[in-house]
This record gives sequence, structure tokens and C-alpha cells, in this order.
Amino acid sequence: MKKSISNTFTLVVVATLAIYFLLPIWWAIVASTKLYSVAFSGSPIWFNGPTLFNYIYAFTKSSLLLWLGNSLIEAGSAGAIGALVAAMAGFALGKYVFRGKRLLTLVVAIGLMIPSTAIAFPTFVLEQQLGLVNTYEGVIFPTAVSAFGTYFMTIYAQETIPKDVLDAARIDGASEWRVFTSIALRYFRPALVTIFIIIFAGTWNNYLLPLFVLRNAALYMLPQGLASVLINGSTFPNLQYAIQLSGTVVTILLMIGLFVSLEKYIEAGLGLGAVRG
Amino acid sequence: MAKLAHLLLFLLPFFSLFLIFIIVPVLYTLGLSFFNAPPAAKSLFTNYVGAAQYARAVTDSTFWQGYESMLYLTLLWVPIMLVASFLIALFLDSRRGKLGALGKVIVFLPYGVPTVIGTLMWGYMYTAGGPIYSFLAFLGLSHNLLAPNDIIYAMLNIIIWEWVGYNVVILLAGLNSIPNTLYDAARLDGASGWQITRRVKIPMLKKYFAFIIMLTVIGDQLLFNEPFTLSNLSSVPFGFTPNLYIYHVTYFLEEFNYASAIAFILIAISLVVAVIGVRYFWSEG
Repeated sequence: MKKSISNTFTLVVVATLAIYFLLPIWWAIVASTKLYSVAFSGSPIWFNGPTLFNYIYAFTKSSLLLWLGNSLIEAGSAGAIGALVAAMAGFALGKYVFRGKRLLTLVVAIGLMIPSTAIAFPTFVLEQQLGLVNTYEGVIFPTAVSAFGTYFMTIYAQETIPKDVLDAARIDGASEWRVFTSIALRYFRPALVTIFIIIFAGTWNNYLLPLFVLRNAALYMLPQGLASVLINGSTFPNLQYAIQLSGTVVTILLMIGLFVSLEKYIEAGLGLGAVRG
Repeated sequence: MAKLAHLLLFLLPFFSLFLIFIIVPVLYTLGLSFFNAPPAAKSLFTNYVGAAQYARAVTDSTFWQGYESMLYLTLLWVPIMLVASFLIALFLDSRRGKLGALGKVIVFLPYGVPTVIGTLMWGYMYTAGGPIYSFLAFLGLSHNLLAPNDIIYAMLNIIIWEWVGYNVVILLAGLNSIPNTLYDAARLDGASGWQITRRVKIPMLKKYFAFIIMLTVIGDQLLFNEPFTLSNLSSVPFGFTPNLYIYHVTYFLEEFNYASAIAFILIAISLVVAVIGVRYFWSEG
């Protein structure tokens, strides 16, 4: 008896949380199947003669597909480069004994405390000098540098890669690079996924840096593209609505897919971030 | 001792990127902030003015208006965020079944939605005919959250929606780290569920709360995506947040040197808050 009351209570609370946290997502899905002319009349949270018109309109008549491609390329490259360089640095900081190690660890700790939004403008000013404005690299490199990634990899290397295994390979005559690629990377695999996702999501969601660095509409990333429609497209409310709603739903479904399938790795990253400060 | 060649091989890729894209930009802006180049100047490093840009920032009321509105937002945001994330974390921690796991995914999902897109969705929902507008009207509160005076509440709701899940995950990690022996001891002493929460869980989570407050305070002064996106639907003053002001000074006033000075103030304040927070977090007891 007591158990069934408690189950009902759980259900009620989870349902309440779902209503609040999923409402915008549900609304966007429903609204994306409505034409702009009827979107704000009738029930705001239920279908009304659903149609795929917005999707077809947006994907054929706007740069939506291009923006989606730009976002995937930039977030994917930043995640891959960032995870790899972090693993390499983490391997050295976690497994080697050398002078200056404390200093480098301190540098990484300071890096942890510089929020990326605070240096978007400085990065942009510097990139003007380096000729990186209006290039993919101008977004990929700054977002790939993750002090948290290196910090995470250092602890991960210390705690999970056994020294004996590395030494055994060295005695067999393997070079350090080979020890890293054939042994360390195998241990690093889950951590690589965690850092890849964290950097990928950070780049995918980044708005301020692309806003400064990418001034050419053909190079826009998705959030930037969707927001730019609002500024420039007010004379075409139908197309504006179609782009924003279908773009929103596609982005969200992609992220949900990624998050749900890799939740374990994301939590590992957040958990460590919290526990170790 | 490791060989230098190996160290360079592994450390150079990360640290050279770190140097070029984090350290150099910060120092470069610091340098720029001591100049006041006229609009047509070839280099931004012309016309050295010392600390004049900082003096200007100190007396710039538009800049401080950003801190004022963010202070108000922080005062509202921190307690709501702490209480909401703590209650949800307590609840999810006590339900380990499938429903509990589902609840965790649901609460965390908004964190995966790009903030610009989250803001666009809420923005549409706030407009006449959208669900929030209709719901408020249904309650008899015919309230337009996009009205200039209410925009701060419109933003507050969006930020809570985005960040509660992240904080819940942090608090769940904290709750997980409390040793079971503490609970057993409390129960042996006859403590009730509420007493365990008050005497064991809250004190043990103190540092996690501090961590969340630190992230909130830093995140707050750097707020940009939400107000910038909302400014297309409503009138958000360009000095509403410090970062919004930097963007304005850069693109509309085209005063790079002044923008650099403000950016450096922002970095300095973030660093100070972070150092205080981290020292507290890493300290004993």
C-alpha cells in the first residue's frame, strides 16, 4: 500500500518535471508542423492539420542545410582535435616525471578559470591579425583548446593507466609514440568520448565567438544562422518561421540523440568537474 | 626523468594552442586597452593613453547599468536555482528506479539545447497566441513577458530551464559521495528523514552549493546569448549585460580599444570570483 502511494508520487513529480522541461521542445515539434498563418491561433500545444511544408521550404529555399553542415564540421573537428591534444598532454602530465610539471599544471588550472565567453572578443581581435576571421579554423582552434580536457585526461591517466603495462611495452622496444597510440589510447577511449562530447557540445552551442569571427552568411553556424533570420528576414515571416522551427527541431533531435546515447560519458565528465572543482 | 623530445611531442600541441588562443588574446587585449586609436589609424596600438580607458569604464553609466541589472538577476537567480536543483536532486537521488532515471534525462535535456535556440523557442512561446502567453491569460494574468519591464523575468525563466539540469547532475554526484556510514550513524541515533537532510546532506553538500553559486555569478556577468537573441523580439537595452555592451562598443561604436578595456575588466572579475570559489572548494573541512 505504502509502496504504491510512493510510486504514484514519483510518477506525479516526474510528470510535472517533464511538463516544464519538455514543454518548449514539444511546442517546437508541434509548431514546426503548422503553417505560420495558423501557428498562433488555435491550441498552442496540439497539432492542427500537420504538414511538412516548413521543413521542405526551409531546406530547399534557405542556407539551413549549409549551416547545419558548417556546425557539424566545426564542432566535429574541434571535438576530435581537442580530445586528442588533451589526451596527449594528459598522458605526459599524468605519466612522466619532469621539471616544470607543477608549473604546467598551474597553467592548466588558471586556464580552467578563464571562461570562454570572456575571451571571445580578445580572440577575435587577435584573429584579425592572424587572418583567421571568416575561416573555419578561426572557430575550430579556440574552441578545441580545453583546459578542462587536459585536466580531466591528466587525472584519468594517473588513475587508470598502469605503469607496468607501459614499461612492459618499453622493454619490448616500443617507441614512446607507439606506447601512446597502441596502449595509452586504448585506456583513454572512454575519456576521449567524454571530452569529445563536451567540446563538441560547447562548439555546437557557441554563439558569441562565431558572431565575432564569422561575418559571412555562407560560413554561419546553425544557432547564428537561425538567429540571423530574425534580424534580416522580417519581411518574409513565412520563410523565417519555417527556417527557425525546422532548424530548431532538427538541432534538438540531433542533440537529444547524442545526449541520450552518450549520457554515461557526459555524467562522468560533469561528476569529475564537480568533485575536483 | 622523461626525455625532452618526448615531452615536446606530447605537450606541444595542446600548450601551443593554449598559448595562442587563450594566453595571447588576454595579453593582447590588455595591451590594446592602454591605447585610443583614432578611427582611421593603421594600427590599434596608436595614441597611448595609459589607464584612461579604465577611467572611462569606471564612470561609464551604461557599463555599470549592465552590472546593476545582472546583480538584480543574480539575487533572484541564485536562491531559485539552488532550491530547485536541490529539491530535484534529493528527489531523483531517492528514486533509483526507471522513472527516476527517466526524470534525470528529462531534467538534463535542456542543457543540450543551444542557448540561442532555447531562447528562440521560449521567445515564440511568450508571444501572443503562444502557450505561455495563453496560460498566463488563462490564469487571469494577462501578462506579456516580452514587455521591456518584464524581460528580466523572461530571461530568468530561460536560464533556469537551461541550467537546473546541469546543477542537478553536480548535486547528484555530491549526494553520491556522502559515505553510507554517515546515514547509518544518523539512523541509529533515531534521526528522521528531514533531520538527515538538514544535518547530514545539506552540510555535506556545502561545497557543491558554493561551486554552483560560483558558476552562477560568473555565468551571470557573461550573459550574452539570451539577451542578444531576445533583443530581436523585445527592446533589450544594449548595456543590459556587460558582454552585450562589449559587442555594442565593438560593432556599433567601433571602439576596439575601449572594448578591450571592458573585456579585460570582465576577465579580471571572473578570475577573482573563480579563485575565491576554487580556494573555498579545495580548502579542508
